[in-house]
Amino acid sequence: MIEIIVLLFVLLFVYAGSSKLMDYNKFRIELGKSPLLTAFAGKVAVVVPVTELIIAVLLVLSRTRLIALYASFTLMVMFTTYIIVILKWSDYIPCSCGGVLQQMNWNQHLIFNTVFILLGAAGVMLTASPGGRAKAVIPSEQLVTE
Amino acid sequence: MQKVKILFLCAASGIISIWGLYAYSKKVNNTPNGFIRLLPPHIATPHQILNVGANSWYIAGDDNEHFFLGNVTAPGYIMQVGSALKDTNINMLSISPVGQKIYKSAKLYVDAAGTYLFDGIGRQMFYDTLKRKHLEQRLMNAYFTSAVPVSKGTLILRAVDKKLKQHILLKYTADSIALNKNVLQKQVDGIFCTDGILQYDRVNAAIVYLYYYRNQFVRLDTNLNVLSIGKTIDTVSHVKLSVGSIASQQEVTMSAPPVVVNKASCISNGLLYVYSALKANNEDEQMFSESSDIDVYNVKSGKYLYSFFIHDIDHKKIRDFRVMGKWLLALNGNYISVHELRLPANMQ
Repeated sequence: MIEIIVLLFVLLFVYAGSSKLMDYNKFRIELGKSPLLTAFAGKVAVVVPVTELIIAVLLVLSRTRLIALYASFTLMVMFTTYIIVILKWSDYIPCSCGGVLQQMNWNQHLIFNTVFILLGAAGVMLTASPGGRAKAVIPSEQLVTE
Repeated sequence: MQKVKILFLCAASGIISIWGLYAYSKKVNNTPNGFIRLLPPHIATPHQILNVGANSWYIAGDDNEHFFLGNVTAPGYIMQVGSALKDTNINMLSISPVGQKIYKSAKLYVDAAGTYLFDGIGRQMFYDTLKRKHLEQRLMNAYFTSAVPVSKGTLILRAVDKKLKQHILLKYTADSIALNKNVLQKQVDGIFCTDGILQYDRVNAAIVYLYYYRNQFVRLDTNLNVLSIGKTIDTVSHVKLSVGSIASQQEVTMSAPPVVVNKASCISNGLLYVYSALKANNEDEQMFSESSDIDVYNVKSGKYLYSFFIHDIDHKKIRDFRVMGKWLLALNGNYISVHELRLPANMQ
C-alpha cells in the first residue's frame, strides 16, 4: 500500500517537475499571468519544479521517505490552497497553470489535488517511523520532551 | 498522534504561506492610482434584472428603442431586449448564402440604420436593413479586426498592418479603401499595446478609438483625420504590459497580466462612457471591490464630467454595457440588467 502511494507521488512529481523545466519559458510566462504570482514568477518558476524533483528523490530513498511524505503533503496543500484562492477570491482566473496535466480544468485539478493530499496523509500514517506504532500509545510526556 | 500533529502543522503552514501571497498580491493590486473621481449620488438606479442562463451574450448595439445582443458561441442568434426587460426574445437570423462558412470571431452590430454581421477573418460582412431577418453577404477585399458603419456603404475598419506590425485604421467603401497608419500610436509591441475599442459618435459624426491599456482616446472625423486626443482620468499614460513568445506553441502572448485601464465603453448622445478598472484615491476599497466604475466624458471637448457605479451581480463585474437614452444595459456573468440614468444636468 505504502509503496503504491510513494510510487504515485514519485511519478507525479517527476512528470510535473520535468515537464515544467523542459518548457521552462512557457511555464514562466503562464505563471506570470497568475494574479497571485506576477511579482515572483521568475523565482517560483524555478523553485517549484526543483522542489518537486528533490521530493521525488527523497521519496525513493527509504531513510528520508517520511520527511518526503510530509513535504509532499505540504506541497499538495499549498497547490490546493492556491487553486481555491484563485477560484474564489481572485479578480480573474488565468487559463491554466501550464505544464502539468494541462487538459484538466481548475475544478478537476482541485479534486485531483485533494486525492493526493489524502494519499499523502495516508502515506505518512502508514510509514513505520523509528519507534514505530508504539508512539501512538505513548502518552503526552514524550510529546513534551520533543 | 504526533504524525497527525505534524500533518496539521504542515497543512497550516502550506495554507498560511499561500494566503500570505494572496494578501501581498491584493496589496500590490489595490494601491491608489493618483487620481480622483467625482461621484454625484443616485446617477444609476437598478431597474430590472434577468438571468439569461449564459455568459456568451455580448452587446451588438441598439436602434434607439431596443438593445440587441449577439452570442459568441452562435453567431446567427440575436436577442432583443426592451428597456423594461419584459419584451425579451431570441431570434435566429437567416444568412445567405446558406452554409457559408462564418468564423467564430464574427461580430454582430446593430445601429439605427441596419443589422450587420462582421466577419473580418473571412473578409465578408452580412447586412440587412432594420428588419433583422435575412442577412445578405457582401464580400470585402480587406481583412479586419473591428468595424463600425458610419453611413450607408461606408465603414471604418481596424486592421493589422503586416509591415508595421501594429493596428491601423481604414476607411472602407465599396470602391475605395483609404488608410491612416498614423492614428494609433505604438508604445510596446504594436499589436497588444494599440488594442482598444472602435466606436462611432453619431451626434458629432466622429470616430472614437479608446485604448485598453493607456489613458487615451483618439477622436477622428470620418476621413480619419485626428481631431483631438482625449485623456481618461487615470495616470497610465504609457502602456504597462510585457510580451513573451512561446516557441513550442508558436504564439506570442502577454507574459504578465497587463494593466487594463479601460475595460469597456460606449457612446450615447455625445457622451463617452468608460468602464475603468482602476481605483481612484478617494474610493473606498470595499465599494470598489463590489462594483464597476463608469466614468463619463464629453466626446467633443474631451472633458471628464463625473463617475458612477454599477453594483456587481453574483460577484461578477460588468463585462459590457450600453447606454440608450436614459437606460443603461449591463452584462454581468449570466445576468443582464437595466439601470435608469439620471445624469446631473448642471455638469456638461
